Amino acid sequence: MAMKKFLFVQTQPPHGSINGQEGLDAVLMGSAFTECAVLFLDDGIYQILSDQQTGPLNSKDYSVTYLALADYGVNNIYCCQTHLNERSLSTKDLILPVQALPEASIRRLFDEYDVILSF
Amino acid sequence: MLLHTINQSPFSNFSLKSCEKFSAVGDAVVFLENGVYALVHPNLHLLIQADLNVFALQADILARGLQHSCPDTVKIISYPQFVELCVQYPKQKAW
Repeated sequence: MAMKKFLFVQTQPPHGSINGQEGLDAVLMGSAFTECAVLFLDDGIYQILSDQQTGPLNSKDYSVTYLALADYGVNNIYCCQTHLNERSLSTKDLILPVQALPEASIRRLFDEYDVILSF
Repeated sequence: MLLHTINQSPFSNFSLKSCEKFSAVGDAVVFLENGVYALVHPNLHLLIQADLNVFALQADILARGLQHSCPDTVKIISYPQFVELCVQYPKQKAW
């Protein structure tokens, strides 16, 4: 049986809920077994905004952990250009290189991957 | 073909909008849990116009008293029918 390709979709901003961190943990684990990619949609893109300072919140800045994805062989990292524009962001504001796709291409990603896990 | 699931009220997030934007003809959508409030959302018709097959879980509709607000364009399904849909559409996207 062919190896299944997993797409992890991050949709929530960081620190307000555990979703983002859970999703990141899941990608790191999944990448040990199969080909994985990450897609940031809507407020999910805020997870990788540069210069997060979580000291006053007494929580860990897990955004830097995203930098480890490359070492785990996760090289396909996507976001939606429209969602960046809506938030006055560009890929330069992000902590890691991300491919910004037009809306029409997002649906094709869903077709390309065998399993879609949303966080 | 994709099975989209919406389990939160579209009055409090973008689930309905995102689902419509990132769907393709022939996809199916299932409203469950608080997602059934989509039945009374003004943007519901967008999914119908996009040629998606739209379903809603009966138990969740009844529990919320929405049974008199179901448009004919949405098919009401039981839990076993939901399972059948999952078999028919092996790939899912939860919004």
